[in-house]
Amino acid sequence: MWIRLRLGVTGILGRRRFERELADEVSFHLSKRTEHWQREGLTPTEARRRARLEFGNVDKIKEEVRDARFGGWVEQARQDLRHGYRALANNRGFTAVAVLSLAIGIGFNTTIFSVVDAVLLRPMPYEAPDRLVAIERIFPDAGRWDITFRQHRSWRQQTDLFESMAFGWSWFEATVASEGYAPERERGFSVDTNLFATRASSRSLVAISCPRRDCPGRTMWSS
Amino acid sequence: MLTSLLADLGEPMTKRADLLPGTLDLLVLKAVSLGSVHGYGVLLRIEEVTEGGLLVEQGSLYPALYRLEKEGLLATEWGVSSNNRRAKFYSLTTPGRRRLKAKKASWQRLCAAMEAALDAKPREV
Repeated sequence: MWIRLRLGVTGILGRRRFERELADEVSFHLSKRTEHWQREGLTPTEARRRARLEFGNVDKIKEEVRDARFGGWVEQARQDLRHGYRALANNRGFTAVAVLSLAIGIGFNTTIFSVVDAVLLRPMPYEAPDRLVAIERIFPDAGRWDITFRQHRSWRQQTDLFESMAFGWSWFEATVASEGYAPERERGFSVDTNLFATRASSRSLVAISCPRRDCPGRTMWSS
Repeated sequence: MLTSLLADLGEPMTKRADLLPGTLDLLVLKAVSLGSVHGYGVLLRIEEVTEGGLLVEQGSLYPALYRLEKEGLLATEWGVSSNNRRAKFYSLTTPGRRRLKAKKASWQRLCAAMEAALDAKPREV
Protein backbone atom coordinates (compact mmCIF):
# COMPACT_ATOMS: atom_id res chain seq x y z
CA MET A 1 0.00 0.00 0.00
CA TRP A 2 2.70 2.44 1.05
CA ILE A 3 4.87 1.47 -1.88
CA ARG A 4 1.96 1.99 -4.24
CA LEU A 5 1.29 5.39 -2.71
CA ARG A 6 4.92 6.40 -3.02
CA LEU A 7 5.03 5.25 -6.60
CA GLY A 8 1.91 7.28 -7.21
CA VAL A 9 3.46 10.43 -5.76
CA THR A 10 6.75 10.16 -7.57
CA GLY A 11 4.66 9.23 -10.58
CA ILE A 12 2.90 12.58 -10.50
CA LEU A 13 6.10 14.52 -9.81
CA GLY A 14 8.25 12.66 -12.31
CA ARG A 15 5.60 12.35 -14.95
CA ARG A 16 7.12 14.80 -17.39
CA ARG A 17 10.53 13.25 -17.05
CA PHE A 18 8.99 9.83 -17.50
CA GLU A 19 7.26 10.91 -20.70
CA ARG A 20 10.47 12.42 -22.08
CA GLU A 21 12.48 9.33 -21.29
CA LEU A 22 9.89 7.04 -22.80
CA ALA A 23 9.84 9.11 -25.99
CA ASP A 24 13.66 9.01 -26.08
CA GLU A 25 13.68 5.29 -25.62
CA VAL A 26 11.17 4.68 -28.39
CA SER A 27 12.93 7.00 -30.82
CA PHE A 28 16.26 5.34 -29.98
CA HIS A 29 14.74 1.97 -30.82
CA LEU A 30 13.23 3.24 -34.08
CA SER A 31 16.43 4.88 -35.28
CA LYS A 32 18.48 1.78 -34.46
CA ARG A 33 16.02 -0.36 -36.37
CA THR A 34 16.05 2.08 -39.27
CA GLU A 35 19.84 1.82 -39.41
CA HIS A 36 19.49 -1.94 -39.36
CA TRP A 37 17.21 -1.97 -42.40
CA GLN A 38 19.41 0.52 -44.21
CA ARG A 39 22.34 -1.83 -43.75
CA GLU A 40 20.14 -4.54 -45.24
CA GLY A 41 19.87 -2.37 -48.35
CA LEU A 42 16.65 -0.44 -47.96
CA THR A 43 16.40 3.25 -48.79
CA PRO A 44 16.27 5.53 -45.72
CA THR A 45 12.55 6.17 -46.25
CA GLU A 46 11.79 2.50 -46.74
CA ALA A 47 13.93 1.55 -43.75
CA ARG A 48 12.15 4.05 -41.53
CA ARG A 49 8.74 2.84 -42.70
CA ARG A 50 9.73 -0.76 -42.07
CA ALA A 51 11.00 0.03 -38.57
CA ARG A 52 7.75 1.81 -37.69
CA LEU A 53 5.60 -1.01 -39.03
CA GLU A 54 7.57 -3.56 -37.05
CA PHE A 55 7.32 -1.55 -33.89
CA GLY A 56 3.57 -1.17 -33.99
CA ASN A 57 1.33 1.69 -32.93
CA VAL A 58 3.63 3.97 -30.91
CA ASP A 59 0.84 5.74 -29.02
CA LYS A 60 -0.86 2.51 -28.08
CA ILE A 61 2.42 1.04 -26.85
CA LYS A 62 3.21 4.16 -24.85
CA GLU A 63 -0.18 3.82 -23.23
CA GLU A 64 0.57 0.21 -22.37
CA VAL A 65 3.89 1.28 -20.85
CA ARG A 66 2.13 3.92 -18.73
CA ASP A 67 -0.28 1.27 -17.53
CA ALA A 68 2.59 -1.08 -16.76
CA ARG A 69 4.50 1.61 -14.90
CA PHE A 70 1.73 3.40 -13.01
CA GLY A 71 -1.13 0.97 -13.31
CA GLY A 72 -4.24 2.44 -14.82
CA TRP A 73 -6.12 3.98 -11.91
CA VAL A 74 -9.36 2.43 -13.11
CA GLU A 75 -7.76 -0.98 -13.11
CA GLN A 76 -6.26 -0.42 -9.68
CA ALA A 77 -9.51 0.86 -8.24
CA ARG A 78 -11.25 -2.19 -9.66
CA GLN A 79 -8.68 -4.48 -8.09
CA ASP A 80 -8.97 -2.72 -4.74
CA LEU A 81 -12.74 -3.02 -4.83
CA ARG A 82 -12.58 -6.67 -5.71
CA HIS A 83 -10.05 -7.30 -2.98
CA GLY A 84 -12.24 -5.49 -0.46
CA TYR A 85 -15.29 -7.41 -1.53
CA ARG A 86 -13.51 -10.74 -1.20
CA ALA A 87 -12.08 -9.88 2.19
CA LEU A 88 -15.54 -8.93 3.45
CA ALA A 89 -17.19 -11.97 1.90
CA ASN A 90 -14.63 -14.27 3.52
CA ASN A 91 -15.25 -12.85 6.96
CA ARG A 92 -18.99 -12.71 7.43
CA GLY A 93 -18.87 -12.03 11.17
CA PHE A 94 -16.57 -9.07 10.80
CA THR A 95 -18.65 -7.75 7.91
CA ALA A 96 -21.85 -8.00 9.94
CA VAL A 97 -20.29 -6.15 12.88
CA ALA A 98 -18.82 -3.49 10.61
CA VAL A 99 -22.06 -2.93 8.72
CA LEU A 100 -24.06 -2.84 11.92
CA SER A 101 -21.66 -0.37 13.55
CA LEU A 102 -21.84 1.86 10.51
CA ALA A 103 -25.62 1.63 10.34
CA ILE A 104 -26.06 2.41 14.02
CA GLY A 105 -23.45 5.15 13.90
CA ILE A 106 -25.00 6.82 10.89
CA GLY A 107 -28.51 6.45 12.29
CA PHE A 108 -27.47 7.87 15.62
CA ASN A 109 -25.72 10.80 14.01
CA THR A 110 -28.70 11.53 11.80
CA THR A 111 -31.01 11.55 14.81
CA ILE A 112 -28.72 13.77 16.85
CA PHE A 113 -28.26 16.12 13.96
CA SER A 114 -32.01 16.39 13.34
CA VAL A 115 -32.50 17.36 16.97
CA VAL A 116 -29.58 19.77 17.04
CA ASP A 117 -30.71 21.28 13.78
CA ALA A 118 -34.28 21.79 14.99
CA VAL A 119 -33.36 22.98 18.48
CA LEU A 120 -30.14 24.91 17.98
CA LEU A 121 -29.36 25.63 14.36
CA ARG A 122 -32.63 26.49 12.72
CA PRO A 123 -34.20 29.71 13.96
CA MET A 124 -37.58 29.30 15.61
CA PRO A 125 -40.45 30.04 13.25
CA TYR A 126 -41.36 33.28 14.96
CA GLU A 127 -40.68 36.82 14.15
CA ALA A 128 -38.16 37.53 16.92
CA PRO A 129 -37.22 34.24 18.54
CA ASP A 130 -34.25 35.78 20.30
CA ARG A 131 -36.63 37.98 22.27
CA LEU A 132 -38.87 35.15 23.38
CA VAL A 133 -38.37 33.77 26.88
CA ALA A 134 -40.08 31.26 29.14
CA ILE A 135 -40.36 32.04 32.82
CA GLU A 136 -40.00 29.43 35.53
CA ARG A 137 -40.30 29.67 39.27
CA ILE A 138 -37.50 27.96 41.14
CA PHE A 139 -36.86 28.18 44.85
CA PRO A 140 -33.32 27.57 46.07
CA ASP A 141 -34.42 25.07 48.71
CA ALA A 142 -37.75 23.82 47.40
CA GLY A 143 -36.98 23.50 43.70
CA ARG A 144 -39.40 24.17 40.88
CA TRP A 145 -42.89 25.23 41.61
CA ASP A 146 -45.82 25.62 39.32
CA ILE A 147 -46.82 29.13 38.49
CA THR A 148 -50.43 29.83 39.23
CA PHE A 149 -52.52 32.03 37.05
CA ARG A 150 -52.82 34.49 39.93
CA GLN A 151 -49.07 34.68 40.30
CA HIS A 152 -48.74 35.25 36.57
CA ARG A 153 -51.35 38.01 36.63
CA SER A 154 -49.64 39.81 39.48
CA TRP A 155 -46.28 39.64 37.72
CA ARG A 156 -47.84 41.07 34.66
CA GLN A 157 -49.22 43.94 36.58
CA GLN A 158 -46.01 44.62 38.50
CA THR A 159 -43.40 44.55 35.75
CA ASP A 160 -42.86 46.36 32.50
CA LEU A 161 -39.76 44.26 31.83
CA PHE A 162 -41.59 42.45 29.05
CA GLU A 163 -43.49 43.86 26.15
CA SER A 164 -46.20 41.35 26.73
CA MET A 165 -46.82 38.24 28.83
CA ALA A 166 -48.98 35.23 28.19
CA PHE A 167 -49.89 32.25 30.31
CA GLY A 168 -50.00 28.62 29.35
CA TRP A 169 -50.87 25.72 31.63
CA SER A 170 -51.28 22.26 30.23
CA TRP A 171 -50.77 19.97 27.30
CA PHE A 172 -53.71 18.14 25.82
CA GLU A 173 -54.60 16.10 22.83
CA ALA A 174 -57.64 16.84 20.73
CA THR A 175 -59.21 15.88 17.47
CA VAL A 176 -59.43 18.85 15.20
CA ALA A 177 -62.17 18.66 12.64
CA SER A 178 -63.67 21.13 10.28
CA GLU A 179 -65.92 20.83 7.30
CA GLY A 180 -64.27 19.66 4.16
CA TYR A 181 -61.14 18.37 5.93
CA ALA A 182 -60.32 15.00 7.36
CA PRO A 183 -60.23 15.14 11.17
CA GLU A 184 -56.75 15.13 12.65
CA ARG A 185 -55.39 14.28 16.05
CA GLU A 186 -53.31 17.18 17.30
CA ARG A 187 -51.36 18.01 20.38
CA GLY A 188 -52.17 21.34 21.92
CA PHE A 189 -51.21 23.57 24.78
CA SER A 190 -53.70 25.58 26.77
CA VAL A 191 -52.90 29.27 26.71
CA ASP A 192 -54.64 32.46 27.55
CA THR A 193 -55.65 34.88 24.83
CA ASN A 194 -52.72 37.14 25.57
CA LEU A 195 -50.54 34.70 23.70
CA PHE A 196 -51.89 35.72 20.33
CA ALA A 197 -51.33 39.37 21.02
CA THR A 198 -47.86 38.47 22.23
CA ARG A 199 -47.09 36.59 19.11
CA ALA A 200 -48.46 39.26 16.82
CA SER A 201 -46.35 42.05 18.26
CA SER A 202 -43.18 42.00 16.29
CA ARG A 203 -39.74 42.93 17.52
CA SER A 204 -40.93 42.92 21.06
CA LEU A 205 -39.78 41.19 24.19
CA VAL A 206 -42.28 38.56 25.12
CA ALA A 207 -42.49 36.42 28.18
CA ILE A 208 -44.47 33.30 28.64
CA SER A 209 -45.11 32.04 32.09
CA CYS A 210 -45.18 28.33 31.97
CA PRO A 211 -46.31 26.09 34.80
CA ARG A 212 -44.53 23.01 33.65
CA ARG A 213 -40.93 22.46 33.02
CA ASP A 214 -41.36 20.56 29.77
CA CYS A 215 -42.91 23.37 27.85
CA PRO A 216 -40.30 25.27 25.91
CA GLY A 217 -41.70 28.51 24.64
CA ARG A 218 -41.41 27.55 21.07
CA THR A 219 -43.81 24.67 21.24
CA MET A 220 -46.44 26.78 22.87
CA TRP A 221 -48.49 27.23 19.78
CA SER A 222 -48.22 24.57 17.24
CA SER A 223 -50.88 24.92 14.66
CA MET B 1 -1.15 -9.33 -27.49
CA LEU B 2 2.45 -10.33 -27.28
CA THR B 3 2.61 -11.64 -30.76
CA SER B 4 1.56 -10.64 -34.19
CA LEU B 5 1.81 -11.97 -37.62
CA LEU B 6 4.19 -10.12 -39.80
CA ALA B 7 2.26 -11.22 -42.88
CA ASP B 8 1.22 -7.67 -43.66
CA LEU B 9 4.88 -6.63 -43.69
CA GLY B 10 5.62 -9.12 -46.41
CA GLU B 11 7.78 -11.10 -43.99
CA PRO B 12 7.95 -14.83 -44.69
CA MET B 13 5.88 -16.52 -42.03
CA THR B 14 7.57 -19.85 -42.18
CA LYS B 15 9.28 -21.34 -39.17
CA ARG B 16 8.59 -18.49 -36.78
CA ALA B 17 6.72 -19.42 -33.66
CA ASP B 18 4.28 -17.13 -31.87
CA LEU B 19 5.16 -16.43 -28.28
CA LEU B 20 3.05 -18.17 -25.69
CA PRO B 21 1.49 -15.81 -23.14
CA GLY B 22 3.87 -15.16 -20.28
CA THR B 23 7.00 -16.21 -22.11
CA LEU B 24 8.07 -12.69 -23.08
CA ASP B 25 8.93 -11.84 -19.47
CA LEU B 26 11.12 -14.90 -19.26
CA LEU B 27 12.88 -14.08 -22.53
CA VAL B 28 13.46 -10.48 -21.44
CA LEU B 29 14.90 -11.56 -18.09
CA LYS B 30 17.18 -14.02 -19.83
CA ALA B 31 18.36 -11.47 -22.40
CA VAL B 32 19.09 -8.89 -19.69
CA SER B 33 20.87 -11.49 -17.56
CA LEU B 34 23.53 -11.77 -20.27
CA GLY B 35 24.65 -8.24 -19.42
CA SER B 36 23.33 -4.68 -19.14
CA VAL B 37 21.53 -3.79 -22.31
CA HIS B 38 19.13 -1.23 -23.82
CA GLY B 39 15.62 -2.04 -25.01
CA TYR B 40 16.57 -2.46 -28.62
CA GLY B 41 19.47 -4.67 -27.56
CA VAL B 42 17.04 -6.96 -25.73
CA LEU B 43 15.23 -7.48 -29.00
CA LEU B 44 18.47 -8.15 -30.87
CA ARG B 45 19.60 -10.66 -28.27
CA ILE B 46 16.33 -12.56 -28.40
CA GLU B 47 16.42 -12.64 -32.20
CA GLU B 48 20.03 -13.65 -32.17
CA VAL B 49 19.90 -16.52 -29.69
CA THR B 50 16.70 -17.93 -31.14
CA GLU B 51 18.04 -17.38 -34.65
CA GLY B 52 14.86 -15.57 -35.55
CA GLY B 53 12.75 -18.55 -34.52
CA LEU B 54 10.53 -16.50 -32.22
CA LEU B 55 8.27 -13.70 -33.21
CA VAL B 56 8.54 -10.83 -30.74
CA GLU B 57 6.27 -7.88 -31.35
CA GLN B 58 8.75 -5.08 -30.82
CA GLY B 59 6.37 -2.66 -29.23
CA SER B 60 5.28 -5.15 -26.60
CA LEU B 61 8.85 -5.30 -25.38
CA TYR B 62 8.56 -1.93 -23.64
CA PRO B 63 5.46 -2.56 -21.54
CA ALA B 64 7.20 -5.75 -20.42
CA LEU B 65 10.43 -3.92 -19.55
CA TYR B 66 8.59 -1.25 -17.54
CA ARG B 67 6.49 -3.85 -15.77
CA LEU B 68 9.56 -5.85 -14.77
CA GLU B 69 11.24 -2.65 -13.62
CA LYS B 70 8.25 -1.78 -11.49
CA GLU B 71 8.31 -5.23 -9.95
CA GLY B 72 11.91 -4.58 -8.98
CA LEU B 73 13.32 -7.30 -11.20
CA LEU B 74 15.18 -4.91 -13.48
CA ALA B 75 17.31 -1.89 -12.64
CA THR B 76 17.68 0.95 -15.11
CA GLU B 77 20.34 3.51 -15.84
CA TRP B 78 20.83 6.04 -18.59
CA GLY B 79 24.07 5.58 -20.46
CA VAL B 80 25.63 5.96 -23.86
CA SER B 81 25.18 3.36 -26.57
CA SER B 82 27.96 2.03 -28.83
CA ASN B 83 27.37 4.80 -31.38
CA ASN B 84 27.30 7.52 -28.74
CA ARG B 85 23.59 7.94 -28.35
CA ARG B 86 21.90 8.33 -25.00
CA ALA B 87 20.06 5.14 -24.16
CA LYS B 88 18.39 3.52 -21.19
CA PHE B 89 20.18 0.40 -20.01
CA TYR B 90 18.53 -2.44 -18.15
CA SER B 91 20.25 -4.83 -15.81
CA LEU B 92 19.08 -7.70 -13.62
CA THR B 93 18.56 -7.17 -9.89
CA THR B 94 18.94 -9.94 -7.32
CA PRO B 95 15.19 -10.57 -7.18
CA GLY B 96 15.30 -10.56 -10.98
CA ARG B 97 17.93 -13.25 -11.00
CA ARG B 98 15.87 -15.29 -8.56
CA ARG B 99 12.75 -14.86 -10.68
CA LEU B 100 14.62 -15.91 -13.81
CA LYS B 101 15.83 -19.08 -12.13
CA ALA B 102 12.36 -19.99 -10.89
CA LYS B 103 10.66 -19.23 -14.21
CA LYS B 104 13.28 -21.14 -16.13
CA ALA B 105 12.81 -24.21 -13.94
CA SER B 106 9.03 -24.14 -14.28
CA TRP B 107 9.31 -23.62 -18.02
CA GLN B 108 11.61 -26.63 -18.33
CA ARG B 109 9.20 -28.76 -16.32
CA LEU B 110 6.39 -27.70 -18.62
CA CYS B 111 8.44 -28.49 -21.72
CA ALA B 112 9.49 -31.88 -20.46
CA ALA B 113 5.89 -32.76 -19.60
CA MET B 114 4.58 -31.53 -22.94
CA GLU B 115 7.23 -33.43 -24.82
CA ALA B 116 6.53 -36.62 -22.92
CA ALA B 117 2.82 -36.19 -23.53
CA LEU B 118 3.18 -35.56 -27.22
CA ASP B 119 5.61 -38.42 -27.76
CA ALA B 120 3.43 -40.95 -25.96
CA LYS B 121 2.81 -44.18 -27.86
CA PRO B 122 -0.53 -46.07 -27.68
CA ARG B 123 0.83 -48.91 -25.55
CA GLU B 124 2.14 -46.58 -22.89
CA VAL B 125 -1.26 -45.16 -22.06
